[in-house]
Amino acid sequence: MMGDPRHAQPLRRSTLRLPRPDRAWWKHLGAGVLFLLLLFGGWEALARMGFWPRYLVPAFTDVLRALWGTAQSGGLVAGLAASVMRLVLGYGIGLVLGLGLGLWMGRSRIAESTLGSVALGLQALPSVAWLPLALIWFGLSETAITFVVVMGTVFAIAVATSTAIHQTPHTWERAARNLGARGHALLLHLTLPAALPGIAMGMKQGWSFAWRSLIAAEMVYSTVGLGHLLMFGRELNDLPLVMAVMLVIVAVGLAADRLAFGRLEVAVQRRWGVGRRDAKLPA
Amino acid sequence: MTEPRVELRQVSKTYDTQQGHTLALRDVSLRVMPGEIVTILGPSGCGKSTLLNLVAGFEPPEEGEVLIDGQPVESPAPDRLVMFQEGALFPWLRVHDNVAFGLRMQGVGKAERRAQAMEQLKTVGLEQFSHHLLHELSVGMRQRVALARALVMHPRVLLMDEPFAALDAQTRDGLHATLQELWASAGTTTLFVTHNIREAACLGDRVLVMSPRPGTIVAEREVHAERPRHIEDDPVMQVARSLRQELHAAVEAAA
Ligand SMILES: Nc1ncnc2c1ncn2[C@@H]1O[C@H](COP(=O)(O)OP(=O)(O)OP(=O)(O)O)[C@@H](O)[C@H]1O
Ligand SMILES: [Mg+2]
Repeated sequence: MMGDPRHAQPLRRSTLRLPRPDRAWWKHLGAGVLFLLLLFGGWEALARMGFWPRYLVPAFTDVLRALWGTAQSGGLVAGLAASVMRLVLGYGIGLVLGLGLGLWMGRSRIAESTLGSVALGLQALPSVAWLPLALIWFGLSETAITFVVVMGTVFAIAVATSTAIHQTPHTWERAARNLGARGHALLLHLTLPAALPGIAMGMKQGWSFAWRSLIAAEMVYSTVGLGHLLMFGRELNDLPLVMAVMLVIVAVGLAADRLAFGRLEVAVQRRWGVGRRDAKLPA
Repeated sequence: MTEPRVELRQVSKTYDTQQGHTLALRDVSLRVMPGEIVTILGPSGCGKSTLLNLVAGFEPPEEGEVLIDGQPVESPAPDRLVMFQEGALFPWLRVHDNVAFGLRMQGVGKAERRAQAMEQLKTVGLEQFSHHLLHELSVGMRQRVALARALVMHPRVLLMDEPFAALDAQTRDGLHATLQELWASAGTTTLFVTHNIREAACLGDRVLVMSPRPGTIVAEREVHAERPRHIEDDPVMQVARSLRQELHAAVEAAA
């Protein structure tokens, strides 16, 4: 803390800073890669030993080959694009609605005691259970699928947001009101930033719910998308293709976490000084 | 005759909870003159925080009146700033943004509020830490930030609720010194609540002793020792001794 910190940290907008990758981080990454190599190597060896027929237990290279094949035919790209578009659209709508609903429940006692328990209940409902309803309402359409994704997202984010607001220390609100914060200013400068760690967690959870509900919905009804591709592989009895698509689904989920949500969560926790002070960058 | 800055007239306050009613304050009357520093000394749970909350406007009194410069208190406002025991700073803001929070709520422009915040941080010795995050500061430094955040608003009354209770003796002595310097230069009227007898004697122009719950004021003592005072100065210790007797008598009488 010595020296003149003003020079070390020049005046700038209060951005959410991320820790820089350090040696420990590289080590962490190395261990992860090594583990994956061993895992896939072991799988390959086991499958090639011939205890089981290859069409039931394909080797890792069979899966890679299927992946390459569907990538080249354009089926994978089309499916991936369709799924990601739906995901982004549904998640975006769910996020906006969820934040709005959560803020409302967080700030109004009546909204909390009425909508609160409904939201909590609906959060427990697997969102693919909305699909029959959506199909009746919207027919066999994109809207039906988007609706399911929105339903998967909205309650997770709403519940996390309102919980975070309720857990905000009472003295923070008193201090802010004491310093003259009222109405919108109170919402913008106290309620939201105070709840941000909880909201970030809700956003992350909402994202994974959205992804799951999308794949589930695409498997039941869709003509394009990763979920559809899964079912297509099943109809052809093409297990390598099925596994290849599964890998892609996992990869998309991981990528979103590593590149966006996990980082957001760590950055917020560091800034707020909550959670583990030494929180690591996700590898 | 000048008007008191803070005046409580026969104030009572009851809290209703599921467990029943708690009479927290009973028939409390007091006056604090402009520029005066009044410390309120009382055992834990006697209603000290309740009293400050009423002056701050967080809660309405049940009976009686709470007046600031003759006007009844209606709601919280930056002319009566509370410094909380835990500081209640905002961890998502850097130190200077915490200090500037009240100015921002008043619509003061960015450059102006930054300049004022930096000036105020100098008075508490933290200008070097203006861009730090709160969890990068010690507890004592955080209380200095809280003090700066309140004083930068030039409140008519500063309300301090055991702000140094969690500090070690050395850090607390440092804050006592800073606080007395600030009083000497800014002359901020202050109502300071504590359960520490010597702290009450050290900081107050006048000490009010409260009885255990239901809290009421049972004794009053002026402290004439010269400032700046240290908590172990002889005159302070003498006052503390007689305050101790008065406090004991109040606790015994209630038992
Ligand atoms: N919001 C509340 N609801 C119900 N009862 C309360 C509330 N605030 C305070 N009380 C009760 O009022 C009494 C006085 O509380 P208060 O916090 O004012 O005491 P205090 O003198 O500040 O104590 P301490 O020194 O421990 O901070 C206590 O018995 C407490 O239980
Ligand atoms: Mg208290």
